Amino acid sequence: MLRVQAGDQGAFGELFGKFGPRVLQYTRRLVGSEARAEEVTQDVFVQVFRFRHRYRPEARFATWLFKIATNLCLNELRRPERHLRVDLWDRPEGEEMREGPSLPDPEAITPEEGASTRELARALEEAIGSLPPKQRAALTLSRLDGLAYRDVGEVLGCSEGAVKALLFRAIHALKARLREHM
Amino acid sequence: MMGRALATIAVLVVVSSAGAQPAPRNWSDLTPQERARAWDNYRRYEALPPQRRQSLEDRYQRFQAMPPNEQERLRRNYDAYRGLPPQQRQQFHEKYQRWKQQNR
Amino acid sequence: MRCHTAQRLVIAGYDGELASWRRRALDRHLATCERCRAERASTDRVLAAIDTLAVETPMPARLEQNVLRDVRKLAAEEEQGSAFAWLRSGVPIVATGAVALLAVVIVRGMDEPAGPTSTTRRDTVAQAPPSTRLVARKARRVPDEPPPALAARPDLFMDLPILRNMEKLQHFDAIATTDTDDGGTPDAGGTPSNG
Repeated sequence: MLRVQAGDQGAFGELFGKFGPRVLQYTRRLVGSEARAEEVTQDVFVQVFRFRHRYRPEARFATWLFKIATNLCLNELRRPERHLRVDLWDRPEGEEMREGPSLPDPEAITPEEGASTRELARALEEAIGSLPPKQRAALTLSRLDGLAYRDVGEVLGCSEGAVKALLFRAIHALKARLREHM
Repeated sequence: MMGRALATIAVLVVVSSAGAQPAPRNWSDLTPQERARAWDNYRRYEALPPQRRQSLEDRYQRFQAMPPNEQERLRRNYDAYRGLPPQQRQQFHEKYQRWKQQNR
Repeated sequence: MRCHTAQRLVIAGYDGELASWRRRALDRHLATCERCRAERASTDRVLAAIDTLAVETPMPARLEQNVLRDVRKLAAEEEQGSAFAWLRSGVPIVATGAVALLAVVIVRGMDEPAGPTSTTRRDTVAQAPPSTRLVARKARRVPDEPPPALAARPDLFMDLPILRNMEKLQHFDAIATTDTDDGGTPDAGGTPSNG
């Protein structure tokens, strides 16, 4: 990131290569639409470059990056036209099932195990998609992106205690929705 | 005479070690990366239904009973599989289904 | 500790985010409360399932192209903006040329590889990819005291992917050369071995 700040565009490409997939998966989980997730991810990295001089090396880059991503996702979710769109986490009757976010399980090449694993993963992704945005963000950042609670709090603009509360409510909601699968 | 005895002993050691099972490792023997991998797989295992877990237990027993070179062959094949691009992995699945039908 | 509090702390305990005194209090409560132990077991199952979800997703090529294109445009606009700023300031052309020449010299100096004595935090930070901190964070979740099942047979879990796919791996070469209905026999790649 310091090389990016010094004007090294090649370094920016490396940064994008390292963090792009994680950010894309994160935005996909938050906004629930693959197309919008790609647009938001594009906006995230343009903002990273535009405001690169605001990044302080004392801070964790991932925290700064996900803060930008979260703000853009929450803005996207608040847009009025958002409420008119079909919620892609639901599957309208008669329409072909969307695959949703890809759920590769590199270990499961047994079709039978792969099928049950995929079913659980799909149910889980749907359940996560039904969480309120901040719970979804807290869960994704801490469980899937490995951020410490303090960093999650920094990204979401809340205290560590609030992060714990968000996670508790999120897990509680997931347990209720996944009862038949677990 | 002495040389022949030593050579015989050396051959016996080589032959016996080729068939010897490697001693199972303890948690404390694992590197941090191996521990992380084992932990991740333990989590996956815990998420499986009971009958799948039993099936894996049975396979573990069979795998442990295999000679080391056979275990190594399976590990090499797994690495080869992991190296396949997604489309070829899918093709491999289809071939496996076909192979199962042909070999019932 | 009450059940209500204990259940709220289970996840944080799982993530290693509890102070040690709180952790001990939680463990004491769980040792005596069957209901909370059951809750923890179900939390465990959910967290295990979440951990199996993909963290990364393949990056569409068009997205990468779009981002890099936008960044190049932005960089060009910034350069143009700073060039116009110089002109607007009314600095004499000769002085501008002298400064530009100086800038070129400085930039070319920056392109030179840093010597060993100039290793700064810049290089350290640039060379230590932030993603490793995330990996290290995940690795810190590995408990020092593994569950008994894991401690008893770590080999089982090390080799779990192989066990799950044992039949395929035993007959890898034969499967790879099996004809499919379309008659194609694409090479499965790698260096498969049937012994």
